[in-house]
Amino acid sequence: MSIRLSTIWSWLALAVVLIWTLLPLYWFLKNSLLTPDEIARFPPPLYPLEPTPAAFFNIFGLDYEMADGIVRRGSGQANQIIRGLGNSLIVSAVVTVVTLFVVLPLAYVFARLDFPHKNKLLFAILLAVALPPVSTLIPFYAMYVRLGLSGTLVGLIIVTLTITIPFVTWMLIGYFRNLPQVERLARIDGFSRFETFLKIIVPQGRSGVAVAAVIAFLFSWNEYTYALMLVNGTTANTLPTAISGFLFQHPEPSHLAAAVALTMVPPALVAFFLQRHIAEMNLVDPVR
Amino acid sequence: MRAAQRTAELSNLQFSLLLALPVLVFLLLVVAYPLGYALWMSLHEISFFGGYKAVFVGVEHFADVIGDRKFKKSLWVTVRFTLESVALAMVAGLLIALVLNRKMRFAGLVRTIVILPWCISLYGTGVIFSYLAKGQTGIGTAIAYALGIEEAVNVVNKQWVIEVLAVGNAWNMAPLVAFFLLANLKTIPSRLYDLAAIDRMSRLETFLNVTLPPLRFTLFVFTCITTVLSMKLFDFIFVLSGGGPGTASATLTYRIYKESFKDLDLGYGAAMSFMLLALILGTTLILYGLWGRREARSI
Amino acid sequence: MSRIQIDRLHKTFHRHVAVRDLDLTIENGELLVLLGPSGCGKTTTLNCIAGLETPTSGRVLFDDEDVTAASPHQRNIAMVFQSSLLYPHMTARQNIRTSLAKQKLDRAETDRRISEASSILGIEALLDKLPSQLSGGERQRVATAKAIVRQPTAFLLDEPLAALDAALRLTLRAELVNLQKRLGTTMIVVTHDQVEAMTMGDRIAVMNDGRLEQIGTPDEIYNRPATLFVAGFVGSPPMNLIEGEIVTQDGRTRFVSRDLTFEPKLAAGDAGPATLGIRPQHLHIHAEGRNGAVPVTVFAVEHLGRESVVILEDGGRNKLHALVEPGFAGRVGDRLHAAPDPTHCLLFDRAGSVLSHAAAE
Ligand SMILES: Nc1ncnc2c1ncn2[C@@H]1O[C@H](COP(=O)(O)OP(=O)(O)OP(=O)(O)O)[C@@H](O)[C@H]1O
Ligand SMILES: [Mg+2]
Repeated sequence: MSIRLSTIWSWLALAVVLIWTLLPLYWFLKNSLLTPDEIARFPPPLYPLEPTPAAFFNIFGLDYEMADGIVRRGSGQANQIIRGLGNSLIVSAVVTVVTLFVVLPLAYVFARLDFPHKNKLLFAILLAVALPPVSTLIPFYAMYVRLGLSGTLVGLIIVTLTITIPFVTWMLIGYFRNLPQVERLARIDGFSRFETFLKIIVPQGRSGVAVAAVIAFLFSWNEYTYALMLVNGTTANTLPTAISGFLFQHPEPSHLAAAVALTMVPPALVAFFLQRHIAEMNLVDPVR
Repeated sequence: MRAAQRTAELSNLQFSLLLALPVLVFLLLVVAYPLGYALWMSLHEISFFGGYKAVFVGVEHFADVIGDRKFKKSLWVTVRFTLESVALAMVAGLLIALVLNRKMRFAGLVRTIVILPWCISLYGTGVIFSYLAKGQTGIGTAIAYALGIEEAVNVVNKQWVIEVLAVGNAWNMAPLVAFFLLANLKTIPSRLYDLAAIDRMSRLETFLNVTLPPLRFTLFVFTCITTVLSMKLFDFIFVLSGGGPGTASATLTYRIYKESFKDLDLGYGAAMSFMLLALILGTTLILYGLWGRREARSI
Repeated sequence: MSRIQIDRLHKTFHRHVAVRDLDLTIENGELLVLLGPSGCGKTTTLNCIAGLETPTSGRVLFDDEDVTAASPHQRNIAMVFQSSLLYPHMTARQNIRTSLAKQKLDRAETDRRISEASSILGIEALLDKLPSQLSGGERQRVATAKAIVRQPTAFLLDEPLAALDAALRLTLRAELVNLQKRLGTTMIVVTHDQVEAMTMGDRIAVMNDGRLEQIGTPDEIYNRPATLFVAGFVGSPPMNLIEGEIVTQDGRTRFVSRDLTFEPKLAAGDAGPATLGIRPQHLHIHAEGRNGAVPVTVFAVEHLGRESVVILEDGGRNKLHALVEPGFAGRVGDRLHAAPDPTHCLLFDRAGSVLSHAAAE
C-alpha cells in the first residue's frame, strides 16, 4: 500500500516538473501554428484550431499557401534571421572553443595548485562574474568605436568571452577540486606538468569539460544585451537581436514564436547530447 | 633557498603563471578597463547637447544616488526580485533534481525536456512569460473564459509584476541548478538509503539526513550564482515589463539603463552601477561568511 | 638498488611541524618499516624521500648523491599511496602500464612485466576493470602491481596492506617480503600496525610526533625499547606500565609504586618519578600474595586459543595485561596477585628514556 502511495507521489512530482517546464513553452510556441485571426481573437485560444506551419516558412522569407488559397507572405525580416542564425552559430562555436581552451587550465590551476596571491586573483574572477552588462556597456562601446570593433563579429566574440570565461571558470574550480589527487601519481610515473594536465586531468574530467562546453555555448548563443548595443542593425547581427524585430519594429506573434522555436533547436541538440555528462559529473566522488 | 634546490620540475608558481597569466591579463583588462572607465564617468558630469562636455564633479553623483528616492525604490525592487527568484529557482531546481534522480524509463528524454528552459535566451524567456501573464494573451484569461468568467486576467500589474518576473527568471535558471544537484545526488551511495531504511527513518528524515547533507555545498554555490545572475539581470526585465507598469519593476539594472541610455546621464548611471556592484559583491561575501565558509570546511 | 640517507630532514606545513630534524639511513637492499601512530609524519617523510614534497630544510641522498632537488621520476622510485590512489579513468591494466610509459620498453617486455606483476598479486582477472569497480583491497593490489612493474631504485609503500582482510594481508605480506628479498631492492614500508612492522622489517624506525624515537631490528625494538613511547607502542597486548618513583635510601636504589617495591640495578642519581614497564608474558599470576606482587582483580579474560590474556585491575584502577596458559580458570571479579619478573623489568625516567635494561643482563 505504502509503495503504491510513494509511486503516486513520484508520478505526481514528475507531472508537476513537466508542467512547470512545458506550460510556458507551449503557451507561447503554439502561436507559431496559429492563423492570423486566431492570434487576433480574444480570449486567446487554448490550442491551435487549424494548425499551420506557415510561420516557419515565412521567417525564412518563403511564402506559404494555406488550404483556403490565402497566401501568407514571407517575412521582410528573413534576411536578418538567416544572417543572424549564421552569425550566432559562428560566435557561439568560436566562443565555446576559446572558452574551453582558456578555462580548463585556468580552473585547474586555481583548483589544484597553491601559489601566492591566489585568493586575490580568485576575487578578481568573482568581480568579473559580478560585473553587470548594463554597467560595462558604455566603456566597451566607447572602446569598440575607437578600435573599429563595433559592428563586427570579432568584437562580439571578445565581449562574450568576458562573460563566459569568468563564469565557467568559477563553476569548474569546484569540479576540479574534487578530482582525486592523481598529480602525485603522475609525477612518479614521470609525466611533466603539461602532460599531467592534458593526458590525465582533462580525460578524467571529461564530464566537466562537456558541461563547460554547454554552459559556454548557451551563454553566447543567448547573449542579448551586448549584441543589442554592439552589433544590432549591422551585418554582424545575431539571432536574438534579429528576432527582436518581430517584437518591437513589426510585431508578428506567429513569426516571433517560430523564430524563438528556431533559436531553441541548436542548444536543445547540444543539451540532448551532453545532458548525460552533466548528470554524471561526479561532483564529490566518494570512491577515490 | 639553496642553489642545489633548483628542481627539474616547474614550481607551482611557474606552472600556474604559464597557464594562467595570459588569461588573467585579459580578464584584468576587461575588468579593470570598464571599471576604470565607469569610475571616470561617475566622477564627471557628461553632457552631449551643445557639444560633448565632461566636467569633473567629484563624488556628487554618489551623494545624489544615496539621496535618490527612486534609487531606494529600485534597490528594494531588486532585493525582492532576487530573493524570490533565488528561493524559487533553488526549490524548483531541487525538486527537478529529485525527480530526475529516480530510475525511470525515457530518463534521457525527460532530462532533455527539463533542460529546455535553460536553452532559451533570457530575451526569449521574457517574451514567453509576457505572453503567459498579460491580460490580452495570457493563459489566465483563456482559462477564465473557458470557465465562464468573462474577465481578462492580467498579472503583469503593479502588485504582481515582480512575482511574474521572479517566476520567469527561476524557470530559466532552475535547470542549471537541477543538473548540478543531480550530478551530486548520483554520488550518494545507495547503501546509505538501505542504512536509513534499517534505521526506520521516515521519508522526511531520510531526505534530511541522507540526501541533503552532500548537496549542501552545491546548494550554497548555486545560491550565490543565482543571486549574482538575478541581481545583474537586465534583458529579461527589459523585454517582459520594461520596468513597468510605472516603475513597479524598475530594478537597479533597469534604472541604470534608463539613466545612461534614455536620459543620457552617464555619470549618474555609472555611480549607480557601483552601488549595484557593491550590492552584488556584498551579498556574495555575506553569503560566504554566514554559510559558505561552514560548508567549505565540512567537505 | 640504493642506499638512502635522510639528513636532518625538517618539514613544516604553515608552521605546523610534521617532521623534525630526522636523520635516517636505509641500507642498500634493506626493508625498513616506518612505524608510528596516525599523524606522526610517516607519510610526509615518505613523500620527501619520493620527492613529492620539498623538505623545509635538510637533504635526501641516494647512494651519497644529493637528490633533494630531483623530481620523483628522476629518483626512479616506485610508490604505493596510502589511499591506493589510481587514475580513475583508466582500467587496472592501463594504470599499471602508465608506470612504464616513460621507460622506453618494447611492447613484449611491458606485457611480460605486467603479467608477472599481476600474477604475483593475483589480479589477472581484474585487469580490465576500472578502479571504481574494484574493492578497496583489490585497488590496493593493483596499486602495488603498478609499483612493482618498474624496476626502481627503491619501493616506497604507504600502508600497502591497510585495506585488506586478515587472510589476504598475511599472504601479501609474505609476497612483498619475498619479492623484496628476491630483487634485493631497497624498500620502505609505512605502517601503524606493529605486527606488520615486526614481521616485515629488517629494521624498524619508530616515529612519534615528527621525531625518530628509535631505529633497530624488530628484536631490539621489542626487547630493548629506548623510550617509554616505543615500549608502549610496540607489542600486543601492550606492555604494562606502572607509574612510580625511584628513591635512594641508605645507599640503595628502589622503585616504589602504590602497591609495589622493586630493587633494580641502577646508578644513584636517577631518583625521581619513573615508570616501570613489564611485558604481559613476564607478569606472573599467583593466587596468594607475596613479596613484589600487586594485588589485582580480574577484569576480563580473552581466550586466544594458543594462550589467554587476562586483563587485571590494580588498586588504582589501572589495567594490567598478563599472558597465561589457555587453561586459566580465573573468573571476572577474582582477587589475585600479579608479580613482575624482575629480570624483565624496564625503567623509564620522567622524560621517557630508558634507564635500565634488566632483560639484557
Ligand atoms: N599538506 C598538508 N598541509 C598541512 N598539514 C599537513 C599536510 N600533510 C600532512 N600534514 C600534517 O602533518 C602531520 C603528519 O602527517 P602525515 O600524513 O605524515 O601523518 P602519517 O604519519 O602518515 O599519519 P597516518 O598514519 O594517519 O597516515 C599531520 O599532523 C598532518 O595533519
Ligand atoms: Mg600516512
